[in-house]
Amino acid sequence: MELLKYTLEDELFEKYNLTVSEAVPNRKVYLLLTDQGEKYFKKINYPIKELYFIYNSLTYISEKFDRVLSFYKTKEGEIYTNYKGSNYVILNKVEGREGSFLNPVDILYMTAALRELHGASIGLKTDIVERNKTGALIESLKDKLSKMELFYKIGSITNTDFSELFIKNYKKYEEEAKKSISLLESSNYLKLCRDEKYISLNHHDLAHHNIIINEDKAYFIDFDYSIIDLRVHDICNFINKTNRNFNYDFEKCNSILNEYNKENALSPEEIKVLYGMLLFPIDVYNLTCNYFTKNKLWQEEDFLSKLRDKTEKNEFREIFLNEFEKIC
Amino acid sequence: MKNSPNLSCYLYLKGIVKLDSFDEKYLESIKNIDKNNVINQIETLAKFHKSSMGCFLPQNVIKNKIGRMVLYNRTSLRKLSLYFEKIKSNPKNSFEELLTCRGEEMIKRAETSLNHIYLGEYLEIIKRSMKRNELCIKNSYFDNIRKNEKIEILNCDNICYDMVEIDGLYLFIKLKSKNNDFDYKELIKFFIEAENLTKESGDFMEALLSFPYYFMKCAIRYIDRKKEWQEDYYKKRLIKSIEKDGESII
Repeated sequence: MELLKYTLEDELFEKYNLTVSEAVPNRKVYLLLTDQGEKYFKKINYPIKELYFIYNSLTYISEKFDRVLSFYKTKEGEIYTNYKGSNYVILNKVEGREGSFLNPVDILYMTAALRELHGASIGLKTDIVERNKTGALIESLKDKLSKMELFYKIGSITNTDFSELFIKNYKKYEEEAKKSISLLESSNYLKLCRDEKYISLNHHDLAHHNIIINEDKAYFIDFDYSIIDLRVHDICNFINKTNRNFNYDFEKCNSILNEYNKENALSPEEIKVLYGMLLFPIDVYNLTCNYFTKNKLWQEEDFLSKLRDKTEKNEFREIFLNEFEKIC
Repeated sequence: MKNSPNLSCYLYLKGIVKLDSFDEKYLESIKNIDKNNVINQIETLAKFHKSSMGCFLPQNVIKNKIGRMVLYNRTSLRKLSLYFEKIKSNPKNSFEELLTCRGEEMIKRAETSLNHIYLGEYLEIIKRSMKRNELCIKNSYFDNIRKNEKIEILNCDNICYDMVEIDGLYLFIKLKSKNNDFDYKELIKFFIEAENLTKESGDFMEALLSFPYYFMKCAIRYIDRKKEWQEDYYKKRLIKSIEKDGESII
């Protein structure tokens, strides 16, 4: 659907001095075959100041870490172009293959790259509120919890299988969310947020297809959701992504932490904050939010099957969290 | 528009032909498999792997399944262990009674298999596979791949990036399921030689072949209630699964 909103015209590509022979749909972007090699063509759906945040952040880290996407500039040296009312960027293709969370070697390469990305971005700052989440987590989780309470109320008067299953398990999710918030409040979260050595550029969308593996190195693409925040925020998301489909395996999480800690290891305070972050039932929150606010146009059955899947994994998640608590 | 990279074309260029079916005479001949047949099949697989490796087709054409089998086994084991703890003191039906009776032994066997894998050279084997871009056919049994003048295959839908050892394992697991009482340690040795692999690959294959694959599959089906079978039928399947899994070879 998103791709239908793109404009693919020679006039636009002329701004880049590019001759395009073919445009191949690829997820939410087009892969362009051009006289200057393969490029990605992407429509920007956020303000230009945020695009510059991404560009400036990647420029900042590039001295120490350059395994990230790069912009193909217009003839005038601009990183984007406005065409018929929409903003577009062209990105150089990162060679390699998509990473896989099934493959433990890929996960080690990804973790090492994440550590390097975080290390290279220490000291990076932004005034853009939407892209600076440092210190905002507890309030954000409180907000999510109150929305979950609202979904619970809506679910109680909605007669669907999804609502019924959500209501049935709600107390557990609420308990986890409250414990997460309380733990973060009693932790050194705010103290960490005041110390720049714990703060970095967070990729914030570490899906397997956003991490490219080439030989024994991982590269990051798609920084659309990137923010400045505690590095453990990114690590929390990465652990959740790599684990959620495999019954929350603590050993897998442990191998990530061991690899990450090979340099500039996480402090005990960060581990405690990470535990607080992992405790929050973010997957269930996201799913119920998408369901009750109609954010995603999925079928009722799809929503239900996703919630069932998450519910079935509750016990494994609990074991995982208990194991994690022991290392705090 | 340029054509999408085509797997069949790639395979053809490598001397591997896709057919619609095998002739009746051949199908009849594979009803009774002996050791020589298995050795020939191992050589066919080795030729397939040698010819097809180094592939650079994108992942929308060929899926990347490296690590899947071991992870699947690990996930199954964790699921069964958790369930077993819940029912062991109070089995509800004949299936659960059998599960309680044989479960501990099978869980132990599965743990031993996985421990051998993780303590061995698993990661190095993966790295080799990634470096060489190895392709697996997955259904490596006689009814899907054979050698004539060229390598002939029927279904190439499951061809994926994986470790070549996995094709050997699929062949041996299938042979075990047909209650073929071969010396699998010896067959693994043949496989390693034919593929020019290291001793560590042999250890990996022995460990993975010792995983009670069919037992786990049946137990997980019961736990998930994916099939609407009666408990007695599940029990029959579980007995059959134990036979299919045979003995551990580590």
